[in-house]
Amino acid sequence: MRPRAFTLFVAVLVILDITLHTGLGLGGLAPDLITVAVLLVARRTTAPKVVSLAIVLGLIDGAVAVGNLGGRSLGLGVAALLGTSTRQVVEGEGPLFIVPYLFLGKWLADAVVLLVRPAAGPVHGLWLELVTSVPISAVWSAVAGTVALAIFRITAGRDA
Amino acid sequence: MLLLAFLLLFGPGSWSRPIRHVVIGTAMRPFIALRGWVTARRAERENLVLVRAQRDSLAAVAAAQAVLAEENARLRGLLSLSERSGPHFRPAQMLHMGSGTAEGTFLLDAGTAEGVVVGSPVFTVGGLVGVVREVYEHTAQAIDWTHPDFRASAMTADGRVYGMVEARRGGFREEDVMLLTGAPFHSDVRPGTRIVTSGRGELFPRGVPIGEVAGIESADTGWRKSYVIRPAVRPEAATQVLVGLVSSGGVDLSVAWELEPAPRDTRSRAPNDSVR
Repeated sequence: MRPRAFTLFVAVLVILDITLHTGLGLGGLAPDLITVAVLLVARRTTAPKVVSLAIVLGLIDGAVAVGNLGGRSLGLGVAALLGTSTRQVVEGEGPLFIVPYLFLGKWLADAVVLLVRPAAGPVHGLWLELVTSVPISAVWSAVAGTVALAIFRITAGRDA
Repeated sequence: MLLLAFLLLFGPGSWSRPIRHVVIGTAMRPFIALRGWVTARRAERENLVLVRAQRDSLAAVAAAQAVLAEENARLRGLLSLSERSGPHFRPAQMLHMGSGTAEGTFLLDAGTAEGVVVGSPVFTVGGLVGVVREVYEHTAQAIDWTHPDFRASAMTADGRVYGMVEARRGGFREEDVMLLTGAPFHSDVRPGTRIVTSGRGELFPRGVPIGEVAGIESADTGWRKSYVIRPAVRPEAATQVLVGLVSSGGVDLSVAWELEPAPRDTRSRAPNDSVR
């Protein structure tokens, strides 16, 4: 494993995410590469480090929104915390693991954000989002994250 | 670290304000500048497409002219609305942030240097869009009416029924509507009735269109009625807006929308137009 190359890869994912979402305003069309980055880091480092990263990235990403600043940090932090624990269960990062891992991690992070967000109107809208738009976004992010990881491995070497 | 997120989430807004200010002024600054640049280029590209379309074929010209006319009408409308609404307002560009957490919020390219203050109303030719929540030197953060914290005191255009307007989330964002709550139980507001800001609390100017009554809310019980409002403006479609300046509260803008000014109500003031 090459830590410097992986750090650079994570930085690229974060910058790409903010460029696509905030810079270009693509919204749901762009995958959530920040969550992907946090989940991938969670497989490689300790819980305090990855949770710290998640909080900082959550604050940066959430700063353009009014209110609910800690919501994104909390969602990323919870996903990161659970992500680190998967290392004790599954070793390696084959596609059969990484796709569902990224999917569930992204779904969980979004679910936390939705649950702590102040609601306008009936709660059934929340459940509808959890089973419709959130899974679609999670699938898109999981696929994009898997492809990004594959590209990183090709460019940085198989052991990365 | 997770405790920090909890504190920012559930603590008072004053805790998170400095963090947002620093992040927007530093890490996010190039991305926000890029967003402004992209929005401006997109507008230019649309114009270029129109010119090419005019050159290519008569049919394309017709279609392009329709879009151009619409754009033109929108800008002319904004200009004339700006003139009619007087010196209390200034035009600004609305920058939608694509991030999922930024739903219901947007940035404006005007700030304290231009006279924008916290609580400044934001509207288009169609009507009310939202309200400013945070102001920096040349930018401002605002919430639109789909945000759960949005509230505005409202009335029917004839001034008969007063209430508060708030967002009602639909299954999908396109289904988001507004509710007029707190209307007297004996009131009978017919579908199609225009709802405008009442100016109570003097945060929003009086007479800015909010929407039209679509029907009575099915969950309505008790002593007061709630009405579903079909919004006059979809925030996602707005790009050019007018933003209120320091002295815009309490101004009656009914005439700007060619509405008959409703008589001022003589009852005691309701709680302010507000954002929680």
